[in-house]
Amino acid sequence: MQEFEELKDCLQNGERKKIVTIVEKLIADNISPVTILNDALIPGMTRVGEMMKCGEMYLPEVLHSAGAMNAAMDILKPLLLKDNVKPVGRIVMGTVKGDMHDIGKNLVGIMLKGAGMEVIDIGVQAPPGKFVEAIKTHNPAVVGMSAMLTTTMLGMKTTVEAISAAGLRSSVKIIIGGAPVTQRFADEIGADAYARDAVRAAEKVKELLAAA
Amino acid sequence: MPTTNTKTFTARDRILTAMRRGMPDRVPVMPDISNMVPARLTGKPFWDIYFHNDPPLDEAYLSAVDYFGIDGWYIYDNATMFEQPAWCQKIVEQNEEELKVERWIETPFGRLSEMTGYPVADPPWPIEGMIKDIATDFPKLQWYMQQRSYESLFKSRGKIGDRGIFGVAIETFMGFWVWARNGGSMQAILDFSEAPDLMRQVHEFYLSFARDAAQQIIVQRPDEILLAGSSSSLSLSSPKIYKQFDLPVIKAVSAACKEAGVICHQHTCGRSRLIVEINYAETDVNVMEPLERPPGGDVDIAEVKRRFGDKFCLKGNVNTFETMLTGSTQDVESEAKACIAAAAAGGGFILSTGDQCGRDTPDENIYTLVEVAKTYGRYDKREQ
Repeated sequence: MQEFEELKDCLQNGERKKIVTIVEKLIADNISPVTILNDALIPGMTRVGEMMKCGEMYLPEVLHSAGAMNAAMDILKPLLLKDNVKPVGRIVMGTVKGDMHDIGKNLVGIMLKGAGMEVIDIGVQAPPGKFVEAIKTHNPAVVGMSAMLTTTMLGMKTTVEAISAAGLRSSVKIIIGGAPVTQRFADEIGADAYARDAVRAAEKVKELLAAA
Repeated sequence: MPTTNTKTFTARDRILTAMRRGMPDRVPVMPDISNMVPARLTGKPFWDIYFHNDPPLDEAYLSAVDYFGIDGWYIYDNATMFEQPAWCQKIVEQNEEELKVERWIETPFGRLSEMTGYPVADPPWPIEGMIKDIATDFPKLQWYMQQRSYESLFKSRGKIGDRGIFGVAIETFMGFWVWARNGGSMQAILDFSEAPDLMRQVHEFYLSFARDAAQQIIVQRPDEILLAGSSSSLSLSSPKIYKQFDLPVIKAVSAACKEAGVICHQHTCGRSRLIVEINYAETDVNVMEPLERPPGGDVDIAEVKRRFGDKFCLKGNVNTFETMLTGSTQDVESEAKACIAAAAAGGGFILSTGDQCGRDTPDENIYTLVEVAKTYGRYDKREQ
């Protein structure tokens, strides 16, 4: 469908006004919201992720793409809820205690939303208890933790321990990332997955959801 | 052809010779331990160093230079962030983990304020930046930055002596804007699309500021001007923003340095390969660092040496996480030797790290880096 290709281009180019116009027209033409999401918006954001991964797009441009995606989702969300369409998965994510870095986490959030997931972002400087409470409240399939500092990455370990102590470890998969984080560290603290960048994080979360 | 200069070099001579793409007695070794490692070595809460100046960070660094025996790099005076007139400040909250400090200065346009967090074991971080609203707050900062005289920037230049070089920093445009803007890097990036007209005004001001600051600094003859460009990294920014907003500042400052014969040195970590290429074609920058390799960056130091080594002194790029922080001494030795083998031939190379070393970087890894430079740091083409 021509309009679907245009939607993908709008996402790539971060064109908010145009994407809203096209989505509204498609809805008026009785194209189902879930089709728009699955056949145009998610593939469009996948393309954005791929372009970022291979160095053809940069963070500022991806932020514009995310803005366009959000504008489209503002229209689709109420309709998807009305049609009882569920997101492909729910993830709670945050930057661990003592760490105020949010770019990596936000970028992962963009990629996850672009893949059709519901993202509960509990922000930066999140202590272990905040992750535990968010799991109890939102019942996510996956928990994501970010850290940019070698000092704060140890907060991931205490958060995993807190999740276990609360009896919630078996109900969630845990993925970690951030500049100092490695697969070795993920293994050491008992995380289920590690991703070195936002695009790979979205891919790993999909794998975790599929295995759940 | 001699590949080792047998003249006796001080650390300062050694670095300056390498920065001018020459061949000193050996490859200088300047791991970036500008902040966290020296603060850790004091054994004190980090707020003692960063807030109470007990000891000041520069003195902690100089102690670390002596402790590790590295070639020193004094870069504690920053023309962009230079605090003159002094700010008022008060501690608004203190607990075992953090000190929160409100800081402010009165300007003819109203109060300019910020809130900074001083963690017990990490460097300070901005809780609330100065520019909450560009239209309202930027005139205040603009006024403040125009009140300065740079003479006192040089009051500490004697501290390092021959242990290394004395540099004065000027932020790149993104460095300046991320420092000033409330909301940090994310908001700073969004400003380019959300407030393009205001950003053009901000840029016009900063370009003029940087040009003027460079002229005033150069008169005092520092060993180098450092273009502090962490936030210009393509891990955060884009080539479009770099070319439109950073490059004019870098061109102006580096051209002024070239005219005066002062070294111009740019730090841009993370993804920076394209920046090296752009700077090669369009600027008068002399030294590029830290040339971070994957996964954090995208630089292959051997490729950069081949293509751009006829213009730049290269400084880098032993990985700070995989190697310096979590690797063994054997890992450090191996990667440091590989860097020397890839980039030292013909001169113009300084062995360093791919960015700033993390707080808990083992001392023995830093010692190993130093030992590799002293033992294997030659400028010939032999296998290291």
